[in-house]
Amino acid sequence: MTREEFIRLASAEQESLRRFLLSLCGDAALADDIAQDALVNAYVSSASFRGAARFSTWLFRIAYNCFIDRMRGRRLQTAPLDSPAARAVPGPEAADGRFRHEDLHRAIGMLPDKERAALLLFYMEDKPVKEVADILEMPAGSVRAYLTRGRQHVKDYLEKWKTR
Amino acid sequence: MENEIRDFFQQTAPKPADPTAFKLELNARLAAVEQIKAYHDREVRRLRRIRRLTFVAGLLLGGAATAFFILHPVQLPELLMDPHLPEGASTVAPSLISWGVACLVVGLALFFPLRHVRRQRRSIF
Repeated sequence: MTREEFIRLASAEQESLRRFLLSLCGDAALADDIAQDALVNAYVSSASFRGAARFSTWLFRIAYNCFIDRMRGRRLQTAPLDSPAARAVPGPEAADGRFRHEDLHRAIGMLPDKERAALLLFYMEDKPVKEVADILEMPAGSVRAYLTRGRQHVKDYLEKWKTR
Repeated sequence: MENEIRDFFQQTAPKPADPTAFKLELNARLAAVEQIKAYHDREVRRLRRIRRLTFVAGLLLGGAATAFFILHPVQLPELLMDPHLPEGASTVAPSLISWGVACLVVGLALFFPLRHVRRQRRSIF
């Protein structure tokens, strides 16, 4: 794959890749840095891309692995429902739409990495379960389980904050 | 229900910053990657060429040494004068040993730089 071909394919995926990473790590500069790393890694190993998977699936898988590598060793961002971090979130005065969205994104941010990635890929990036499974390198059944658990956790967080 | 959640997620998805700066940085990084890749490819090619040349030189020198020992037999150590050795072995053996040692030394001398270059490349990418 030539550089021009790679750039053409990567440009088509660039926005959704950056959006996915931004939702995943919640920091625009860090998300862009991971996206750059992922694209460089993909370019270096583009000779090994045989087209067995879709280019976007392959690219998202590299990006997710870069994200995991980057997060390794960092403080775990997730929090159990009854932890101080979860309790410290503002409550029902956030009744307008904008705040409800913020609550949703905050709730997603508190999920474990795999649940969060599965939810974002499935709902936000509109990818089918099979493709999510390929990206996260797990069976489709596990993705469904993560989606169910993730949805439940988000619901629990939102309900908990609402009752405060 | 599923569609409602999906719509909600998509409507509230965050928007990444200006793509132009991102593309410019990506282009610069890819250009740098190509430069490093080209440099390492050149190094690997150079070392391979040296290895091939050394192999040919070793063959020629080994052949010349063997011919020399056959034409000018020398006094051999006791070990190689063993009567159980096949005929001619005592003449050819020293040249083969010296040839083998030379090949081993040259081979090792070339193996390490090649391995170093390959490792360097793997660690960069």
